[in-house]
Amino acid sequence: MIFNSVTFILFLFLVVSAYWLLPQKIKMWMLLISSCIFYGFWRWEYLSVMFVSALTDYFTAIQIDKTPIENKRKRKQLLAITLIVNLGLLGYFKYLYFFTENINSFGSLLGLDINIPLFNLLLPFGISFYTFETISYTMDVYRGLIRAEKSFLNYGLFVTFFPKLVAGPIQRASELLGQLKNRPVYQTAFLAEGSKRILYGLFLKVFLADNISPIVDDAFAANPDSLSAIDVWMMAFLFGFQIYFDFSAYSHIAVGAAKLMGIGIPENFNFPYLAISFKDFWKRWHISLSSWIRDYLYLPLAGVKVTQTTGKGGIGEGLERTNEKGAKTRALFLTWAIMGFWHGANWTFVFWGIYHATIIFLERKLRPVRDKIAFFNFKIISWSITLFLAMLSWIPFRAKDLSDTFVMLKKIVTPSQYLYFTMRENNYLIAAVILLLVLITYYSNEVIEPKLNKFKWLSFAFHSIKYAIIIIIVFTFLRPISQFIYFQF
Amino acid sequence: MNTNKLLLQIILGGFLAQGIIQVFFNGERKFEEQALGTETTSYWAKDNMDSSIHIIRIDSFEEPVFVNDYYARGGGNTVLFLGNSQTHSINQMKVGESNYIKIIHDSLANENTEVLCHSMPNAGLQEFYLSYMYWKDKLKIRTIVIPLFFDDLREDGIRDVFFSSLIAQRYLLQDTTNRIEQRINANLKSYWYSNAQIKDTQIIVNQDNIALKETVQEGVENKLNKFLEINSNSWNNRENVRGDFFVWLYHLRNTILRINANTIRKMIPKRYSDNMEALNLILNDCKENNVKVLLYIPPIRSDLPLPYQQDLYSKFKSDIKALCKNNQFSFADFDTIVPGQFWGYKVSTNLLENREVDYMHFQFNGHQILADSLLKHLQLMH
Repeated sequence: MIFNSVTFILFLFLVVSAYWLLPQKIKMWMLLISSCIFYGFWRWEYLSVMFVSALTDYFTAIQIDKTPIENKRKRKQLLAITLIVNLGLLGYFKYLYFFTENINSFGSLLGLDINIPLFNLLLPFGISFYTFETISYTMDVYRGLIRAEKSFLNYGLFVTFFPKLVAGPIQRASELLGQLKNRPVYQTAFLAEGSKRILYGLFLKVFLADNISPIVDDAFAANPDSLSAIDVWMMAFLFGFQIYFDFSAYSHIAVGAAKLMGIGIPENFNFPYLAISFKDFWKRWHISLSSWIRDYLYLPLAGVKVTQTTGKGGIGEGLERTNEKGAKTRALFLTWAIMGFWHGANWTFVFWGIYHATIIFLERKLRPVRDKIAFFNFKIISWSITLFLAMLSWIPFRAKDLSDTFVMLKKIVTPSQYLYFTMRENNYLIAAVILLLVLITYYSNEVIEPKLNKFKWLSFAFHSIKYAIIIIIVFTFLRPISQFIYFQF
Repeated sequence: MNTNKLLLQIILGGFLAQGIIQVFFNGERKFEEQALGTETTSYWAKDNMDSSIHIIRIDSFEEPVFVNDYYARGGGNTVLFLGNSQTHSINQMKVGESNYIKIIHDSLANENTEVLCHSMPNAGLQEFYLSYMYWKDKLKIRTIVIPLFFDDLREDGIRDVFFSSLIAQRYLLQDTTNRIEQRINANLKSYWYSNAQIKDTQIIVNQDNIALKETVQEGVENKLNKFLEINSNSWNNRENVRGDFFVWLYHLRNTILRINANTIRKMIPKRYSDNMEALNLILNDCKENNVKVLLYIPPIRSDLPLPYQQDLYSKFKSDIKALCKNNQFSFADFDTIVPGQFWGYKVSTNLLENREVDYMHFQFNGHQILADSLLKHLQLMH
């Protein structure tokens, strides 16, 4: 089921009403069944894939928990089962076509007649998200950070809880299971905060992301040879805004829907385009994924023992505990290549990951130099550099293939390509206006609203009008014309 | 923040929104009428038996009438006119006046020839190509008349609103060796799941090889939407409000950037070349199928400075002329045939003025002059 639809609004109303009306014992079953219905509204048959992943981790985690820490071999074997099953599912559904196609291509490069059949499979929605959640759960039990959950109802809900099922935020078992067991009593705050977040999310999706989408689709469908450097920048910025609005919209709605039931889900975004470095960017963008990557890939690869588990903070935390520079760099590049590959079975995503790793690497290496030059320490300068480089990274992310990516990036570094443009003037204008609006929103949140809040009635009227405008816009533009971009990951 | 206060703000916002929706989301408004304004009136040509000869939208309402009427009249050899809003609009229209399609139709009524027209506002040549390819399987097209509006070469892609039947039928161009044809098909496919349907973008590794099934949500969403459309006028009117909103944004942009009808529009090279490629596709197909072609430069208000880059406009005209000469197609340049007094004004496209010069839509006399000029060429061709 997708959030930007009348069906979801009706579904959410029914589920939330039932949740607060039903007795404690029944409401969790209701929630589990509702989550399955939510997923089944896309494809019923793919519920089985999710349950294969969930059941594997449920049983292996219990077994790991039962096995004494001294019996490292058995614990490792059990962990291996989890990894094989989950990564196997991911590999089968998401990467099989990519691997077979690449083996065939590589074979023909070597002059070999390899002709492995290509498997065209439908990618189950949310598989990258729920497999990461189940893996993290078993890993945390293995590391001794949490105990295995005995109740399948609680555990099943941790995996299937519908607000975050299809596109995150990626939740840790330690953060959700406790809330499911100790459910709060009804508070008006849940309704108010949840509704607010859902309205924000729908506004971002149906008004902003969905209206930018046709411009972006059209621009990226063009022959890259015909584009100018200005076009490429415009496309990078517009897609950067589209994916931000789209994905943060999903996260807002997910957080809001869970909040309606008094359940907290970690935040995924914090004005990422206001970051002043790439390290900062990854503390603000898709925070739950970067925190996951940090705890289950980055830190272990850098030789750092993970002693706590949280979906907060983003990447970069905890690395100070390693002194081995080589390990840090290896971990950085490997982690980001995997992070890129997680997004999709295409070399463009790997390139995107390595691009980010390279910039973070350069940020680290050039830090002593940067500290000495006052110019780079002005916030506006470091913000501008980060913004332009972050936006540019969306080119490989959105381009059809590496060849298109390189053509477009070459345009960026060719001065003569800045002398003309090929798209409608409106597109450039829209990109500029959105950037301005993002800055105004941030300024309004940080500066104007706190001042306004001192005048009670003025603030009350201002916010009421704001919600009226949002409701009108959502009412006008609510159409399930497109999925959320991150559904495909 | 005090949560009760927050909830109260949202509830109050909801009531305020409902009031605004009740006031502004009701009533019948056609988007294209609003774009044209009160000076100009849309005109759909019909024959003297009130039978349809002119279509704007290929949708479930207009298309069956248009096609059935054609076959009811005998389904004869057809001169197909393509056009934009110049074709289906009359400036300062008076009772009894008609457009050039109707005038030509009546003039050729005794020659056993069908005169049919498909016009769409701001139609680009990619839309003309799609229109031609669609109609050539349904109508016996012997001649096609295509106006080449320099302005419309800035347009791109296919708009679902004018081709909704094609989207519903999952119509696609069959020969897709050319990149423009591929783009048109991609464009059509992108609409398959929109318009009250779930866009079923089940992400698949190779999309062309897997048959997509419909999702459960698609049926439920359609039913809910139908229920809302039947029971809520405001819900039903959302499309018009979206149209109004974008018109307002367009006017706001024009006001801030001081753009009006006289402002010179720059040509967009990529769109220009895509549209010219689409034109070549039409011409090649006509050549293969022995369809006669008349390309013409349409009238534009020429007693005032043109809102075009003059050098590009001249080059465009000579390119078209050369194209016709090389392929032995008929060509006519009508850009100055309608005198200034037969033009008019249109509703302003910015928020500060009431009206501005209309370079596109002329009065009935202009239609008469254009019809006479076209008839001369058509008679020479046959």
